Amino acid sequence: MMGSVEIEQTPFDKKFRGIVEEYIRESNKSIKIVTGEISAYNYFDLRNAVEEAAGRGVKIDVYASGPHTDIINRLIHHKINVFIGDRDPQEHFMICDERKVIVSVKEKNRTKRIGVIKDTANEVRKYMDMFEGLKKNARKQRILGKDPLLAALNHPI
Amino acid sequence: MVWIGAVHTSDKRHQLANKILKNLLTSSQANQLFLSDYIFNEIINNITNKQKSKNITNDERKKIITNIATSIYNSRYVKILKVSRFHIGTAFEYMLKYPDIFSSLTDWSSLILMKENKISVIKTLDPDFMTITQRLPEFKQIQVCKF
Repeated sequence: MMGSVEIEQTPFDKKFRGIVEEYIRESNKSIKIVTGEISAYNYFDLRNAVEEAAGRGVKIDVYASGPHTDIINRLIHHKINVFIGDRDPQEHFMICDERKVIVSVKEKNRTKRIGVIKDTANEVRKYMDMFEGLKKNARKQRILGKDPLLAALNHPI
Repeated sequence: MVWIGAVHTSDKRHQLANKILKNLLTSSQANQLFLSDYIFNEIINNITNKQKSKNITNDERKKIITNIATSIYNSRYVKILKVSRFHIGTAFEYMLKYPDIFSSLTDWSSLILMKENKISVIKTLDPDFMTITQRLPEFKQIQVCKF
């Protein structure tokens, strides 16, 4: 148990992403994510980790406020539940196995988001409740529209 | 390369490559297409290099790269496999052992990834893959569909 620890900032968020990837790979029961546009999914390292976790049976729920349709479709295709809501909370976070949380927050006077790891039962409960609250008012998504590759093949550049 | 030709009209084998990928995506058997991150790198490099030699605007450049990136990277049917140090080490060893086979390090690593991930069919415009699967028993189970 470490309580609350701020993740050291490194170029290209290497340390933060490394910890996120490690936590995803270590999860064996559930992952709950709250984010905005799910832009972290564009990172090949994190995308692979989350898709492989879903592949080994980890239940993954993602709440987001404004992701692109292609991202939503790809997540659902990999058996990841996507919920879209109107609120983009200041804190984005990921709860792994209901045991630890990584929070990404944009603090005042800082241009970048900072990452904080929290693993006390109270903190985890707080974020679990926050997730459930957001999910309650969100819409569960299903695959919509044409796959982007098929679209590109029909309209090549 | 099938991937580049399929989405790029200026490629000389565009029609054929486009047809190959379309058929794969619309056939009932194919629900997953694989490429390595090295191949993805080659696709992006090839297209950006072509752009450098042409007079195109920044907006057009952005549009082309975004189009390629979203179409392949975000397709739900495409999985990009990671080439590791192990794959490169093994691929390089094959290159040294068989210098008479004119395959690139990327080609060798693709075959090694296929074997490791039990991917049985490769659709390619490159005849060198056939040479490898016919000569080396460890790659014999890979079916090369050449066009």
